[in-house]
This record gives sequence, C-alpha cells and structure tokens, in this order.
Amino acid sequence: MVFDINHIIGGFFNVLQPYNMLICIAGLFIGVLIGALPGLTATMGVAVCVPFSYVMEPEQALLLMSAVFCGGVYGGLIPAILLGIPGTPASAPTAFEGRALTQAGESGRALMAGTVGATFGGIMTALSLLLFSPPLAMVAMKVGPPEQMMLAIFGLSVVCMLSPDNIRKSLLVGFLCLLFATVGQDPVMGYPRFTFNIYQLTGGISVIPVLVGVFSIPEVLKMIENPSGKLVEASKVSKLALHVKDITDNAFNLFRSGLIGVAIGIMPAAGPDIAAFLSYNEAKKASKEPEKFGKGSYEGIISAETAANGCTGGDLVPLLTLGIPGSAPAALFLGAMIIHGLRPGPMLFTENANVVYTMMVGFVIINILMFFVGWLYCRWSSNVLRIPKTILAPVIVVLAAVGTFATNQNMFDVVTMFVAGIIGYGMEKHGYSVAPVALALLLGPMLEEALTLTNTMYAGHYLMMFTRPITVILFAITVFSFVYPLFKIFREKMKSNKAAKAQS
Amino acid sequence: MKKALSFLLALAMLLSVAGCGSGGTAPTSGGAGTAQPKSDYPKKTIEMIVPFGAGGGADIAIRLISKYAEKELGQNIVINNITGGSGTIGLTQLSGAKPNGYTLGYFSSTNSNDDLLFQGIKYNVDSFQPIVEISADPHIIVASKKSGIKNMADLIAKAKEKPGELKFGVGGAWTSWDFLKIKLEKQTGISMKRMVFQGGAAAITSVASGDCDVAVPFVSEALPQIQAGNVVPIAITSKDRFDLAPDVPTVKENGIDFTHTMWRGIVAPAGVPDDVAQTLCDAFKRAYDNPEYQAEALKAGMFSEFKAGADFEAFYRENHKTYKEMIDSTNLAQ
Repeated sequence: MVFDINHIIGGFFNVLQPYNMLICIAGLFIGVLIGALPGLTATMGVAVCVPFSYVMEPEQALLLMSAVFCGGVYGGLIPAILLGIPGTPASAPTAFEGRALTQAGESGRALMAGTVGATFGGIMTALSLLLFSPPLAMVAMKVGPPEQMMLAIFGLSVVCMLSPDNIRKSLLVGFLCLLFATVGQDPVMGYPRFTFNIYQLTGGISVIPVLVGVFSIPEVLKMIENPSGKLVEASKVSKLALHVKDITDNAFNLFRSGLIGVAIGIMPAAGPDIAAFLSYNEAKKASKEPEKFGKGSYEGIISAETAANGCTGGDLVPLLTLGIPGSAPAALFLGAMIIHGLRPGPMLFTENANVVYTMMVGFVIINILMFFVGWLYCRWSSNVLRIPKTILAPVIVVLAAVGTFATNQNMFDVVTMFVAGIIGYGMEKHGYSVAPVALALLLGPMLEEALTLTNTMYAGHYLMMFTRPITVILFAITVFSFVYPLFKIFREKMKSNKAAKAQS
Repeated sequence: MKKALSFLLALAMLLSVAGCGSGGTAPTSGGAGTAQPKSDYPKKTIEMIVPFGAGGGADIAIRLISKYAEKELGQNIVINNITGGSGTIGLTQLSGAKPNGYTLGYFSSTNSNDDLLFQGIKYNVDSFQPIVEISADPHIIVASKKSGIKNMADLIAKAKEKPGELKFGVGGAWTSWDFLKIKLEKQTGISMKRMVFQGGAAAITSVASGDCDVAVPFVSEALPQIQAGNVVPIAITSKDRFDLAPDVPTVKENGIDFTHTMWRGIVAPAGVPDDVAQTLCDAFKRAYDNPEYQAEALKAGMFSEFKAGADFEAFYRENHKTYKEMIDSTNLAQ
C-alpha cells in the first residue's frame, strides 16, 4: 500500500457529502446511547448495525459502523461519571473517579475532561489508522501467543496497584475471578470444567453480564439504603466547563494514554477495556498526586478515556491491512465488508481505495464530531442527577436487565447479572474492590489461551519465548511496573532520612 | 427526563429503520408456480435462529439465503442471533420450539453430535427435521513460509519425518478444523501437534507470523493472507477448485483421495408437518437457484451446494454417524 494524498483528499470530500455526514452523526448519537446504557457495549452496537449495513452502500455501511463503534466506546463514561456505573467495561476506571467528583459537585468538569480525553485519543488513533497502518500492522503481526501472555500478566499486575491499601483483598478477588474465568470448555481438549451439567456454562461465564451486575446493582442498592432525595443536591449539578489548566497539566498524560491506546488497539485480543485499566495505572504511577486516585482525580479520568478511545482505530489496523480481525468489533467489520464483496487485506487499498479511504478519513472526522455529540449528551444527561432516587433506582435495574438480555437474547445472562450484582454488593459492603473482577475475567481467558499455545509452541521450554523482542520488552515493562513503586518508596525514605539527618 | 425522552426517540429511530429494512421486500402472493398444498402456510413472519453472532460466517450465510427466500415465501424472515454456549443455547431453543414451520434455525456438520461434545445438551440428532443444505464450505490448507512446505507431499513428508511435531493450528476444539485433522491423519497415517486457537483468525495470523506451521482456514479467512503473500496455499479440501481461488489445487489433484467440507443448512424442530417442510424446501430451492443469490453467495466466499428432502435427510443421518464414529474413536489428548 502506498501512501496516497489524492485518495485521502478524495475520501475527505466523500465523507463531507451531506448524506454521509448525516450517517456519521446519526451513528454517533446511536453509538453514544448504546455505550451509555449498562449492558450494551460498543461491540453490541456495531452488531446491531450489521444487518442494516447489508442494504446500504459499502462506504455508508462502514461509516455507520465506525461512528457507532467510536460513539459506543465513548458513551460509557457518561453513567460512569454521573452514577458511578460504567456504561461499558472500558469506563470502569473512570467510574472510580467520576463518582467522587460528582458528589463534590464537579460532574460537569469531569464529563468535559473525559470528553476531551476521548476526542484526543480518538483523533490520535484515527490518524494512526490513516497514516501509519502498514508499519503498525507489521508490529501487530509480531504479536503471537507469548506476547499476549506477557500482556495479560502485565494487565493482571494492575490488580495489585489499583488499591494498595487493600492489596490482600484485591489479590483474593483477583485469584478467585481468575478461577471463575476457567469455567466452561477448556481451550485445548474442549472438556467442560465446572459446568455442573448446565449447558449455558459450556462457553464459560459471560463476562459482560457479570460486569454489569457487579458495577450497577451495588450502586442501585446503595441508593435504596437511603431512598429519599436525589443523588446530589440541585445546587451541585455543575455546568459543563473545563479549566484550561486541566488540559495543559495533562498534555503529557493525553499523549501517553493515547499511545497506550493505539498500542493495545493493534494487539489482537486486547481492547479498550484493557487499555483503559493499563493507562489509568500508568497515570497513577506517573502522577504527582497519586493519593487523589480513587477519590476524584481528573488525571485518572483523562488517562482511562483517552486510552479506551485510542483503541478504536488501532483495532482496525490489522483488519484493513492484513485481513486479520483482532477483536470482536473488527470481526463484525470484516463480516460487513465480506457481504459487500470487499476483501480486507493489501488488495483492498488498490481495488477499493475509494471505500477504504472514505472510511479511514471518516474515522478522523467521526472522532472530531464525537466531541460535539458527546457535549450534547453530557448536557442532557446531567439532569439524571435531578431525578429522585426512587425513580432512578428501578430504571437502572430495568435498563441493566434489558441490556444484558438484548446482547445474547439469553435469559441465563440476566440471572448471571443479578447473582453477580448481589455478590458485588456484599463485596463492597466488606471493603472488597470490584475492579479486580473486571481485570481477571477479561484477562483470564486470554492468559489461558496464550499460555497453552506458548506451551505447545515451545514444547514446554518457556524460556524460549525470550528470543522474541516484543516479549522481552513487555516482560521488562512488567518487571519495571512491579519494582518502580518499591523504588519510589525507597527513594522517599532516603530523602526523609537525609532531611532528618540535615535537621539534626 | 430529557435523557429518557432522547432514549425513546433513538429507540423509535432504530425500530423505524428496522421497519424500513424489511418493508423493502414486497410480498409476492404465495409460492409462484408450484402446486400449492392445501395448508395456507406461511401466513405470518418466520423466525430464523442463528446460534452465532451477527456478521459471522453462519450469520452471513443465513441472511443471504433468507433475503431471497422471503420473496418466495411471501413472508418476512426475522433473523434472531441467540448466541452463547458455543452455539448450543440457540439450538436448544430451536429444539424446544413448536414444530409449525414458524421457527427455523441454522445447522452445520457437527451440531447433531452436540450431545456427545457438550455436557448437559438435551437435544440430539432426532430433535430436528433437516430442511435444506445451502453450502459446503471447504478449508484451504495453508503453510507458513518458514516451514518450507510447498505442497501436500512436502506436508506429509515433514509430518512423517518428525511425527507429532509439525504444528497444526486449529480454530477451536471440536470444530470442523479438528475433524479435518483427525480425518487427514487417519487417511495418510501421519500425526501432527495440535495448536488450539480461539477462532480461525488467530490461527491464520499465527501461520502468517511463522509461529504455527499449518492451518486450515475457510476460504474467506484465507484469501487476504494468500493474496498478501503471507502464507503459502497448499490445497483446497473440496472436490473441485473454487472460483475465488482458482490457482489453489484440490487435495485430490495432489494424489490423495481426501475431501472435507463444513456444510451449512437450515433445520426445523422435529415433527414439522410434511406439507410445511415441502413448502419450505421449494421456497429455499427457488431462492437458491436465483442467479442474483448465487452471485452474492460467491462474493461472500460461500461454496454453494444444495440438498433437500429425502436426499438431505439421508445425508444428515449419514453425516451424523460419520462424525459420531470420529468422536468415539478419538482422544484429542494424543
């Protein structure tokens, strides 16, 4: 594929056609809504579009799916900040911060911080897709089972960092959830583990219903504990405003998080959720005020949202250039392309340059438009805080149940959601963080598959995997992320010792 | 409250779009031409259960044929993706549906043996009435550049040289990929090492990067990688060469009498009245024969093949036995 400015300009004018713009905007409105509803994820939003895309022109079909995808990843932050319930798993880190900020009457500023981060990440990833696809795809090709295993281990290391005060409880939850992640057929022999003859468990415990339950039901039950009144006093529903300082202070944070997003995006099997957690964790380590994390940190929100939205374009890089769908949404794009007779891969850029450049340029424009659509949604949805809890609580439960059912049309998922929710409430009451649940359930299956594959590849000689450069890099980062906090503590001790000596 | 309002609005939008989508197919009255049986079936919308997600191979195949069958039946066909449990949840629901012809579902090679493959499955080969087969998708055997394998002879020689060491990528335990491996090994007396990926895309990526030696993706999964020159095409497992990949020889041309395809079809719950089954067979046959359908199916990478009625019924039973024997006689752990 040759970088071709004419195709880019052609694509630009294609996107600007009124009908195409309308599709982008409508797609964003649908996407943000789907992302904001608990249980409905960006992947599900794209899946809903697939049947419609069959009867559309290929460019429009792909623009619609791109818009819904980007909007869906963004939408999760709205309920995360306002209600403390992440709309999608990728917004879980945002929820830790958002809830506290909303209580402090800074919901407007928090929403804007997240929106700016999301837009920045989105534009960064869209530009990477447009300009650097071929080299990025080369890197993606190098990511095999050993790299995925390392990435999963690195991701799990976040469990220890999330809540350092409660490290034992976090580890306990993390280990138990890794165990839950093994329910269902084992990846190699297909032997059903811990399924107790319940055929619905054959494919494992569904992750999304568990996360919806664990994140939303406890919030609802907390509302019911004190059912009178509203979530925050009317006077505390703040305006959508952002200080210039919020952006200038976070310039480096934005870039770092965007890069993490793009990097995780191009890796097969890892998506926005993992990117958000990793980026949040890195931001915490780099922060000058790490103690604020979990108690309302803008840095946290910006890092998580930038990285999550930084994934979307990266996700499509291996698909467009190599024809490899690295994630569930990418697989849906592949399906829609195949039905239109477009075959992703190197031929796509010569045979269907028009379509593919329209889509890639559209991706940039969609992410710019996302800021304005997001702003509108933030404005409308802030009113949620004015709704009495007695109305809000049952509405959330209904939305969570409907959303969970809608994804797979499967009643078992709804039961899973409620059971997980009740367990989650018990956990919160006893000081167990639910964050490790998300990490372990998302990373567990990835770790297991990568581990067994690495084992087969090297016939059990695990050390062989250190002959792969990316594995070594990821290993080094993992080690560093464990050692650095210790080093930091050590240095502070040295400093205070010196200070003490100087004083005496 | 504005949020609730906007939610309702968007919902209405979605629904109206759905309405437009299906409204496009003008109902033609009854089945054209053929002697109509006495029953007035179909007189309402037909539900088609696809036990896998939208956009996947199963979904694309069913949506394509349904689009054309709708016109023949004069009723809308609503696709319902009921996913989870490796496809068993949707099929369990289908097996429990009323056998009146208003609930149909997607079915493929291995599904009649699901009760052997998965624990707790209540349906079996007798729970379904086969209606039509619409495609039989072959696999393309591809090898990594690193492996040095160029054709079937190389592949077999390599596997014989070091038994159980050639890495064979499988797109999931007990999928069509696994059965291909079992059949090929039995027939040629070789043994290879299984590398189990979750999905075909991961397997072919691994072959492209050289981590895995051989994989057997479906045509649509394999073509981009073959065109990009990332993998070496060895052979296609169908009887004849495929129009989309005319340069890839069949395994037979390589001197081994071996074919393996994953057929896809449509079934109803057992106990459907004969005249209803007949109406469906006829309608799907006419949809299948439509040249527009054939062109679209080819573009989507499907290897069309049609069976219906007693023919398909006999094939369905035979296929069940073949796979059952393979499952009973195989220990994946080898």
